Amino acid sequence: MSRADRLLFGVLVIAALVVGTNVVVGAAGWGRSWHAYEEFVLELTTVEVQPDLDGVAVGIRVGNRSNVPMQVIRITTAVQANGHSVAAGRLTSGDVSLVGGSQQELVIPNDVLLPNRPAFEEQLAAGPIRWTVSGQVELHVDGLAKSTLIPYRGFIDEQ
Amino acid sequence: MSSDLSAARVRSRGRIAVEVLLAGWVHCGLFASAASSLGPMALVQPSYWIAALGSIGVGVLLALLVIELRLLVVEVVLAAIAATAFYGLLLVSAIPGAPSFAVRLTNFALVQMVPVFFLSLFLGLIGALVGTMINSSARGYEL
Repeated sequence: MSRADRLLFGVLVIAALVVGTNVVVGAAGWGRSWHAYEEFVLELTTVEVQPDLDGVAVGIRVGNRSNVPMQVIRITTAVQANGHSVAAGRLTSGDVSLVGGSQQELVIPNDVLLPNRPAFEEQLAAGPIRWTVSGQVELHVDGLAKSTLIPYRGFIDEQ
Repeated sequence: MSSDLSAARVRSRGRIAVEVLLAGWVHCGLFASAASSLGPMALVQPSYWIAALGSIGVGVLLALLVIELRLLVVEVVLAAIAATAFYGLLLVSAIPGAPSFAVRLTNFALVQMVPVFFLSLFLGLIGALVGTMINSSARGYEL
Protein backbone atom coordinates (compact mmCIF):
# COMPACT_ATOMS: atom_id res chain seq x y z
CA MET A 1 0.00 0.00 0.00
CA SER A 2 1.50 3.32 -1.06
CA ARG A 3 1.32 6.42 1.09
CA ALA A 4 -1.46 7.86 -1.10
CA ASP A 5 -3.39 4.58 -0.75
CA ARG A 6 -3.05 4.68 3.02
CA LEU A 7 -4.22 8.30 3.06
CA LEU A 8 -7.29 7.55 0.91
CA PHE A 9 -8.10 4.45 2.94
CA GLY A 10 -7.77 6.51 6.12
CA VAL A 11 -10.20 9.10 4.76
CA LEU A 12 -12.70 6.31 4.00
CA VAL A 13 -12.32 4.87 7.51
CA ILE A 14 -12.73 8.31 9.14
CA ALA A 15 -15.84 8.99 7.01
CA ALA A 16 -17.28 5.63 8.09
CA LEU A 17 -16.60 6.41 11.76
CA VAL A 18 -18.09 9.92 11.60
CA VAL A 19 -21.19 8.72 9.74
CA GLY A 20 -21.47 5.72 12.11
CA THR A 21 -21.40 7.97 15.19
CA ASN A 22 -24.12 10.13 13.68
CA VAL A 23 -26.26 7.08 12.87
CA VAL A 24 -25.86 5.55 16.35
CA VAL A 25 -26.91 8.83 18.01
CA GLY A 26 -29.81 9.15 15.55
CA ALA A 27 -30.91 5.55 16.10
CA ALA A 28 -30.92 6.12 19.88
CA GLY A 29 -33.24 9.12 19.34
CA TRP A 30 -35.37 6.96 17.05
CA GLY A 31 -35.63 4.32 19.80
CA ARG A 32 -36.72 6.92 22.38
CA SER A 33 -39.36 8.38 20.07
CA TRP A 34 -40.72 4.89 19.31
CA HIS A 35 -41.00 4.19 23.04
CA ALA A 36 -42.92 7.47 23.36
CA TYR A 37 -45.28 6.45 20.52
CA GLU A 38 -46.03 3.21 22.35
CA GLU A 39 -47.24 5.32 25.29
CA PHE A 40 -49.68 7.27 23.12
CA VAL A 41 -53.30 6.21 23.72
CA LEU A 42 -56.11 6.57 21.22
CA GLU A 43 -59.59 5.25 22.07
CA LEU A 44 -62.81 5.49 20.14
CA THR A 45 -65.51 6.59 22.62
CA THR A 46 -68.69 7.63 20.77
CA VAL A 47 -70.26 7.85 17.34
CA GLU A 48 -73.34 10.11 17.18
CA VAL A 49 -75.52 10.76 14.17
CA GLN A 50 -76.71 14.35 13.76
CA PRO A 51 -80.51 14.76 13.71
CA ASP A 52 -80.53 16.06 10.11
CA LEU A 53 -78.42 13.04 8.99
CA ASP A 54 -75.88 15.43 7.44
CA GLY A 55 -73.05 14.44 9.71
CA VAL A 56 -71.62 12.01 12.23
CA ALA A 57 -69.72 13.19 15.31
CA VAL A 58 -66.92 10.84 16.34
CA GLY A 59 -65.62 11.03 19.91
CA ILE A 60 -61.98 10.10 20.36
CA ARG A 61 -59.97 10.03 23.59
CA VAL A 62 -56.26 10.75 23.17
CA GLY A 63 -53.82 10.27 26.01
CA ASN A 64 -50.13 10.37 26.77
CA ARG A 65 -48.82 7.83 29.29
CA SER A 66 -45.18 8.80 28.74
CA ASN A 67 -43.36 11.65 30.50
CA VAL A 68 -42.55 13.40 27.20
CA PRO A 69 -44.99 16.12 26.03
CA MET A 70 -46.75 15.39 22.73
CA GLN A 71 -48.90 17.39 20.32
CA VAL A 72 -51.63 15.95 18.15
CA ILE A 73 -51.32 17.97 14.95
CA ARG A 74 -54.08 16.37 12.91
CA ILE A 75 -56.54 13.48 13.01
CA THR A 76 -58.37 12.20 9.95
CA THR A 77 -61.42 9.95 10.21
CA ALA A 78 -63.34 7.74 7.80
CA VAL A 79 -66.58 6.32 9.14
CA GLN A 80 -68.21 3.10 7.97
CA ALA A 81 -71.63 1.79 9.01
CA ASN A 82 -71.78 -2.02 8.79
CA GLY A 83 -68.92 -1.88 6.30
CA HIS A 84 -70.45 0.86 4.12
CA SER A 85 -68.48 4.11 3.83
CA VAL A 86 -70.73 6.90 5.04
CA ALA A 87 -68.72 9.90 6.22
CA ALA A 88 -65.27 11.45 6.49
CA GLY A 89 -63.77 14.24 8.54
CA ARG A 90 -60.64 15.72 10.03
CA LEU A 91 -59.53 17.72 13.04
CA THR A 92 -56.86 20.30 12.29
CA SER A 93 -57.85 23.04 14.72
CA GLY A 94 -54.35 23.76 16.00
CA ASP A 95 -52.19 21.57 18.13
CA VAL A 96 -53.79 19.49 20.86
CA SER A 97 -51.11 19.44 23.56
CA LEU A 98 -50.74 16.44 25.82
CA VAL A 99 -48.36 16.76 28.73
CA GLY A 100 -47.12 13.55 30.32
CA GLY A 101 -49.90 11.52 31.95
CA SER A 102 -52.76 13.62 30.55
CA GLN A 103 -55.69 12.78 28.29
CA GLN A 104 -58.29 14.71 26.31
CA GLU A 105 -61.65 14.02 24.74
CA LEU A 106 -61.96 15.22 21.16
CA VAL A 107 -65.06 15.37 19.00
CA ILE A 108 -64.42 15.20 15.27
CA PRO A 109 -67.22 16.28 12.93
CA ASN A 110 -67.65 14.05 9.87
CA ASP A 111 -69.66 15.06 6.81
CA VAL A 112 -71.94 12.60 5.08
CA LEU A 113 -71.28 13.04 1.38
CA LEU A 114 -74.20 13.05 -1.02
CA PRO A 115 -73.31 9.79 -2.84
CA ASN A 116 -73.11 8.02 0.53
CA ARG A 117 -76.43 9.30 1.81
CA PRO A 118 -78.67 6.46 0.48
CA ALA A 119 -76.41 3.76 1.97
CA PHE A 120 -76.26 5.71 5.24
CA GLU A 121 -80.05 5.98 5.52
CA GLU A 122 -80.41 2.32 4.57
CA GLN A 123 -78.07 1.21 7.35
CA LEU A 124 -79.77 3.50 9.90
CA ALA A 125 -83.13 2.01 9.00
CA ALA A 126 -81.78 -1.57 9.12
CA GLY A 127 -81.17 -1.54 12.87
CA PRO A 128 -78.10 -1.87 15.12
CA ILE A 129 -74.99 -0.58 13.46
CA ARG A 130 -71.37 -1.56 13.84
CA TRP A 131 -69.43 1.66 13.34
CA THR A 132 -65.89 1.37 12.02
CA VAL A 133 -63.69 4.42 12.31
CA SER A 134 -60.25 4.48 10.70
CA GLY A 135 -57.73 7.12 9.77
CA GLN A 136 -54.42 8.63 10.72
CA VAL A 137 -53.08 10.70 13.60
CA GLU A 138 -50.19 13.07 12.97
CA LEU A 139 -48.24 13.25 16.20
CA HIS A 140 -45.30 15.38 17.31
CA VAL A 141 -43.13 14.23 20.20
CA ASP A 142 -41.25 17.07 21.92
CA GLY A 143 -37.53 16.99 21.27
CA LEU A 144 -37.68 13.58 19.60
CA ALA A 145 -39.71 13.62 16.40
CA LYS A 146 -40.99 16.42 14.18
CA SER A 147 -44.12 14.50 13.22
CA THR A 148 -45.18 10.98 12.41
CA LEU A 149 -48.35 9.61 10.86
CA ILE A 150 -49.90 6.80 12.88
CA PRO A 151 -52.68 4.75 11.30
CA TYR A 152 -55.55 3.54 13.52
CA ARG A 153 -58.80 1.60 13.23
CA GLY A 154 -61.54 0.97 15.79
CA PHE A 155 -65.10 -0.37 16.19
CA ILE A 156 -68.14 0.65 18.18
CA ASP A 157 -71.29 -1.48 18.31
CA GLU A 158 -74.51 0.51 18.59
CA GLN A 159 -76.66 -0.66 21.50
CA MET B 1 5.45 -18.01 -7.89
CA SER B 2 1.90 -19.33 -8.10
CA SER B 3 1.54 -19.30 -4.30
CA ASP B 4 2.68 -15.65 -4.27
CA LEU B 5 0.07 -14.81 -6.89
CA SER B 6 -2.71 -16.58 -5.00
CA ALA B 7 -1.63 -14.85 -1.76
CA ALA B 8 -1.78 -11.50 -3.53
CA ARG B 9 -5.24 -12.37 -4.87
CA VAL B 10 -6.48 -13.30 -1.39
CA ARG B 11 -5.11 -10.06 0.02
CA SER B 12 -6.74 -8.02 -2.71
CA ARG B 13 -10.06 -9.78 -2.14
CA GLY B 14 -9.83 -8.90 1.54
CA ARG B 15 -9.05 -5.31 0.66
CA ILE B 16 -11.93 -5.20 -1.83
CA ALA B 17 -14.27 -6.53 0.86
CA VAL B 18 -13.13 -3.89 3.38
CA GLU B 19 -13.44 -1.08 0.83
CA VAL B 20 -16.90 -2.24 -0.25
CA LEU B 21 -18.15 -2.57 3.34
CA LEU B 22 -16.75 0.83 4.39
CA ALA B 23 -18.17 2.54 1.28
CA GLY B 24 -21.55 0.82 1.79
CA TRP B 25 -21.66 1.88 5.42
CA VAL B 26 -20.91 5.52 4.52
CA HIS B 27 -23.67 5.47 1.83
CA CYS B 28 -26.10 3.95 4.35
CA GLY B 29 -25.19 6.40 7.12
CA LEU B 30 -25.51 9.42 4.86
CA PHE B 31 -28.94 8.34 3.61
CA ALA B 32 -30.10 7.49 7.16
CA SER B 33 -29.14 11.01 8.32
CA ALA B 34 -30.99 12.62 5.42
CA ALA B 35 -34.05 10.33 5.64
CA SER B 36 -35.07 11.82 9.01
CA SER B 37 -35.94 15.08 7.24
CA LEU B 38 -38.00 13.50 4.45
CA GLY B 39 -40.90 15.69 3.42
CA PRO B 40 -42.21 18.19 0.90
CA MET B 41 -39.35 20.64 1.64
CA ALA B 42 -36.69 17.97 1.23
CA LEU B 43 -34.93 19.63 -1.70
CA VAL B 44 -34.19 22.82 0.24
CA GLN B 45 -32.79 20.93 3.23
CA PRO B 46 -28.97 20.83 3.40
CA SER B 47 -28.92 17.24 4.73
CA TYR B 48 -29.97 15.94 1.29
CA TRP B 49 -27.22 17.81 -0.50
CA ILE B 50 -24.66 16.75 2.12
CA ALA B 51 -25.77 13.12 1.65
CA ALA B 52 -25.60 13.41 -2.17
CA LEU B 53 -22.17 15.06 -2.16
CA GLY B 54 -20.96 12.54 0.42
CA SER B 55 -22.07 9.62 -1.76
CA ILE B 56 -20.32 11.18 -4.76
CA GLY B 57 -17.25 11.59 -2.56
CA VAL B 58 -17.37 7.87 -1.74
CA GLY B 59 -17.29 7.11 -5.48
CA VAL B 60 -14.32 9.47 -5.95
CA LEU B 61 -12.43 7.82 -3.06
CA LEU B 62 -13.09 4.35 -4.49
CA ALA B 63 -11.89 5.46 -7.93
CA LEU B 64 -8.67 6.89 -6.48
CA LEU B 65 -8.12 3.72 -4.44
CA VAL B 66 -9.03 1.12 -7.07
CA ILE B 67 -7.90 2.89 -10.29
CA GLU B 68 -8.75 -0.10 -12.53
CA LEU B 69 -12.06 0.78 -14.15
CA ARG B 70 -13.73 -2.67 -14.27
CA LEU B 71 -12.96 -3.43 -10.65
CA LEU B 72 -14.10 0.08 -9.72
CA VAL B 73 -17.54 -0.44 -11.29
CA VAL B 74 -17.85 -3.81 -9.52
CA GLU B 75 -16.92 -2.19 -6.19
CA VAL B 76 -19.42 0.66 -6.66
CA VAL B 77 -22.22 -1.83 -7.40
CA LEU B 78 -21.23 -4.01 -4.43
CA ALA B 79 -21.07 -0.90 -2.19
CA ALA B 80 -24.65 0.01 -3.22
CA ILE B 81 -25.80 -3.52 -2.34
CA ALA B 82 -23.93 -3.33 0.98
CA ALA B 83 -25.56 0.06 1.71
CA THR B 84 -29.02 -1.44 1.10
CA ALA B 85 -28.24 -4.39 3.39
CA PHE B 86 -26.90 -2.10 6.14
CA TYR B 87 -29.98 0.11 5.88
CA GLY B 88 -32.27 -2.92 6.21
CA LEU B 89 -30.33 -4.10 9.26
CA LEU B 90 -30.54 -0.62 10.78
CA LEU B 91 -34.33 -0.60 10.43
CA VAL B 92 -34.76 -4.15 11.71
CA SER B 93 -32.42 -3.51 14.66
CA ALA B 94 -35.07 -1.22 16.21
CA ILE B 95 -37.60 -4.04 16.58
CA PRO B 96 -36.38 -5.41 19.96
CA GLY B 97 -36.58 -1.90 21.50
CA ALA B 98 -40.19 -1.04 20.66
CA PRO B 99 -41.72 -4.11 18.99
CA SER B 100 -45.26 -3.02 18.15
CA PHE B 101 -44.34 0.39 16.81
CA ALA B 102 -41.04 -0.53 15.25
CA VAL B 103 -42.61 -3.32 13.21
CA ARG B 104 -45.30 -1.01 11.89
CA LEU B 105 -42.89 1.78 10.99
CA THR B 106 -40.23 -0.60 9.73
CA ASN B 107 -42.63 -2.20 7.26
CA PHE B 108 -43.36 1.29 5.98
CA ALA B 109 -39.71 2.31 5.98
CA LEU B 110 -38.44 -0.82 4.24
CA VAL B 111 -39.65 0.78 0.99
CA GLN B 112 -36.78 3.24 1.47
CA MET B 113 -34.31 0.47 0.73
CA VAL B 114 -35.13 0.96 -2.97
CA PRO B 115 -33.93 4.60 -3.11
CA VAL B 116 -30.98 3.70 -0.86
CA PHE B 117 -29.80 1.21 -3.50
CA PHE B 118 -30.38 3.37 -6.55
CA LEU B 119 -29.06 6.61 -5.02
CA SER B 120 -25.94 4.84 -3.72
CA LEU B 121 -25.43 3.28 -7.14
CA PHE B 122 -25.98 6.38 -9.28
CA LEU B 123 -24.20 8.84 -7.00
CA GLY B 124 -21.39 6.33 -6.52
CA LEU B 125 -21.04 5.96 -10.29
CA ILE B 126 -20.98 9.73 -10.75
CA GLY B 127 -18.23 9.89 -8.12
CA ALA B 128 -16.39 7.04 -9.86
CA LEU B 129 -16.52 9.01 -13.11
CA VAL B 130 -15.11 12.11 -11.40
CA GLY B 131 -12.43 9.99 -9.69
CA THR B 132 -11.48 8.37 -12.99
CA MET B 133 -11.09 11.82 -14.55
CA ILE B 134 -8.80 12.76 -11.66
CA ASN B 135 -6.84 9.53 -12.17
CA SER B 136 -6.46 10.23 -15.90
CA SER B 137 -5.30 13.80 -15.39
CA ALA B 138 -2.93 12.67 -12.63
CA ARG B 139 -1.43 10.16 -15.09
CA GLY B 140 -1.15 12.95 -17.67
CA TYR B 141 0.80 15.04 -15.21
CA GLU B 142 2.74 11.95 -14.13
CA LEU B 143 1.71 12.42 -10.52
